[in-house]
Amino acid sequence: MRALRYLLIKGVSLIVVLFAVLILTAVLFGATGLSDKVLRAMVNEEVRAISQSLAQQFTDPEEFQHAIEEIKTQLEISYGLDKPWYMRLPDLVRRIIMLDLGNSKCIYSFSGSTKIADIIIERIPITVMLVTTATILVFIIGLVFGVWLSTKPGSLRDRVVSLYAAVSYAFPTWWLAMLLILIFAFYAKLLPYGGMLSENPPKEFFPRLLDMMYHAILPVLTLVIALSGSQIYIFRSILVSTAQEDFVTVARAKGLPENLVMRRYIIRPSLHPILTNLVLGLAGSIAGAILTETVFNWPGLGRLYYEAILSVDEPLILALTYVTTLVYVVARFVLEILYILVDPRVGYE
Amino acid sequence: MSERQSWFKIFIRSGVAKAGLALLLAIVIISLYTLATYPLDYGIRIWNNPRIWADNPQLVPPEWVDTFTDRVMVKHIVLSTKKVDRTENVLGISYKVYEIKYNLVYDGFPKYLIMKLANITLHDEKGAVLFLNVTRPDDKKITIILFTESPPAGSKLPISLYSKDYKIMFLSRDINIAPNLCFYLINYYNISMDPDDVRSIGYEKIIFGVPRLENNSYVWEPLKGKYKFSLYITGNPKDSVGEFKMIFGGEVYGFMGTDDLGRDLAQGLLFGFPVALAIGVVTSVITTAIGTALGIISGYKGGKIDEIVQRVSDIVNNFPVLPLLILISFVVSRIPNFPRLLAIIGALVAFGWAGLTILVRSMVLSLRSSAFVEAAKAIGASDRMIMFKHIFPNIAPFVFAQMIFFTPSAILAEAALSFLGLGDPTIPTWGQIIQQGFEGGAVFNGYWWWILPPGILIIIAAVTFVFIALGMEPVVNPKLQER
Repeated sequence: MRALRYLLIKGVSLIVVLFAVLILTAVLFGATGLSDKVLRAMVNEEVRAISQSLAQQFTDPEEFQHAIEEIKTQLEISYGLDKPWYMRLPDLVRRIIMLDLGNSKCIYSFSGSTKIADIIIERIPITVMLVTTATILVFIIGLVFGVWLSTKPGSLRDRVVSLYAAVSYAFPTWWLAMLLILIFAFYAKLLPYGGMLSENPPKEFFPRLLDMMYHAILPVLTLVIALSGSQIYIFRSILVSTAQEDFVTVARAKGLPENLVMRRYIIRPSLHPILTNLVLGLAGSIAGAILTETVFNWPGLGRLYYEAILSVDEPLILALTYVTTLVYVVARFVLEILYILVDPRVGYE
Repeated sequence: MSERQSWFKIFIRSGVAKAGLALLLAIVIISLYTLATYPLDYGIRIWNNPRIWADNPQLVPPEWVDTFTDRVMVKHIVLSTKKVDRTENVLGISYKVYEIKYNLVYDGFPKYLIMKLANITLHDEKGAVLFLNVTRPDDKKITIILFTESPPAGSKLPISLYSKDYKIMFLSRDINIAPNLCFYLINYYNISMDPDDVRSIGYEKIIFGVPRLENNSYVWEPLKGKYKFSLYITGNPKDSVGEFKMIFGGEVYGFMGTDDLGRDLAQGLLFGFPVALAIGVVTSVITTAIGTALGIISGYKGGKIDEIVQRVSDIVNNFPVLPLLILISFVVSRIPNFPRLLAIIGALVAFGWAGLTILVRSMVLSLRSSAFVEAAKAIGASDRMIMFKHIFPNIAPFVFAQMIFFTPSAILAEAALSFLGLGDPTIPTWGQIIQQGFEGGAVFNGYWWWILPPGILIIIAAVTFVFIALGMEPVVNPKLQER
């Protein structure tokens, strides 16, 4: 019951975050006059389409003009252009919450649709695949190296890794991506420059999967290098502090084998803070993924961002901001549930 | 850990702190030098003005790359003269001669040749005849090009032509030169070629090289030594040339090479120093000030204010920062003439303060009930007095460390936005140079000098503050544990 209440509180606060972002973005677009501009352009586009189809039905040019004017006014009312932007806000918020994200200006989905929901939905799994793979690898690397370092705090290897952690914090992930392409694709010619599949990808499932994995090596490597430094360091610090607890000393005094002590008495109680930090790392990797995907031409949400910026597609950028926030919030909520599964104490604080 | 004045000693004891401080000093000195020598509107007036860079070779690496090879690469050389070297009599006609001496010491040919002339002063209606001669180190002479200048009909004499802009002659592509070089080849080497062959070989190879027959075709090897480029002018004896300038295009340029517009990357990188420093420091100082102030007020006052501040900061702290930053800089980029860099800094502050507020509040909560605050209250100190004089000094080292730790993230965030094409185009930054390199295909063509140095500088700038923050840790932590 308590766990449920805890989840409820967390859930509500995350939903508030979602709303806050939504309103912030809507106000930003409205107050700068950008939303008016976008809607006007849409109205004009529709009027042009209609006037072309209506042109044959009218013989009197004046009457035609009048009809067009009428259609235009009607469209403006239906888009809410007769009202100031803040009056349109509630409706906009309602539509976005229902995931009615409208149409993009110039970017199409892989299947040729301009519906933003279509465009975004087919990109989400592509990004999730990349980020999840990298996060799992970082978790494994962090744990292995964290355990390795925590057995000898203050040693040379400990200091080297902490320096690496500090420097990797200062690394722009996207620049690292370019460096890796230069090394592995341009000079060594071992790996592809980017993309998710080869130009003529194999049709069968397994060769296709292999082709994709081959293309994913560099982007995943980039994310892992950028994130693992700080994660190893954090994991190590958590493990070191757990290792100083009395119950660990007691376990050792009981004569339990060292790897059992490590597994059951040090790693298990450390998992909760480790996961907390992994969540924060995940939040960082969503940001890192936007730029990494851009560099590698990995056709996920991040690359879509870049394409939307390049082609100045306002509705798409607005929708992307919202959807990224949604993904972020959902990911955090899933990890909150994970906490409870890993550490039942959470609910009883 | 009681003496407060010794904190610097604790700080400087660590190696990372020394390294960080040394790097910071270097960055500050370079920034000051840049601010003193570069105009503030450098980005608009110079960096983004393609005409300034038109003579430079495009996409060439830095000059020092040949230290890694056994070949001496051709450097970019610009030579000019304003005074008459001598007057010469050729077949009874008197010429004024302007001379430029070029020393070829490289294992290659200049990539291209440009001649620029300014202020050609004419005194007669019929104008003047000019020609360009080169005397090679082996004393062979080539007449490269001959042309005339005459005053526009009905203009007042004497007239000075090209007083505003140079007369630019891109010699490497001038089809009138080819026949002259054919004549030179037949004259000195008895090689017969038609002008098209000469053009496909490239004028530079013929002017600066020696032919060697190999498998029935000629191989050109550079002839090292001093070349004298002489510009002859005749017409009215008073006619003159104000400036005679020759540009010998290099395969390498300057300390950092050039980009696709021929811009000197060293300049852009140098200008990036004060910009990065300003972005980092301004953002972190404002963010820390707001975060700390709200944290102290929230923690000390409690009640409704505390509730509101905590709710808001909890929400802001959970914002996905990069997407929002992208959105804000995108919206701002759609507004013409908006100071984008300020907007980016503003957005970084707006999303950055919350984490610090939460941390500071929890520290203040434990300080609020401590004996010295109670004592100050008892003697009637005002709330503001207690917050500033008693609470703040206790958290100051922590706040300071946080401020330093926040600096690199501001620098990195601006670079990331610039990389997405959302930077401020009026101010060159390292992130923008990398973005232009990426767009310009630097990764796919191996123009490493375009994208690696700016990235390394971003890392150095960020690492500087990370190191200082790490050095601060032993100063901050014992105080924290003491409470």
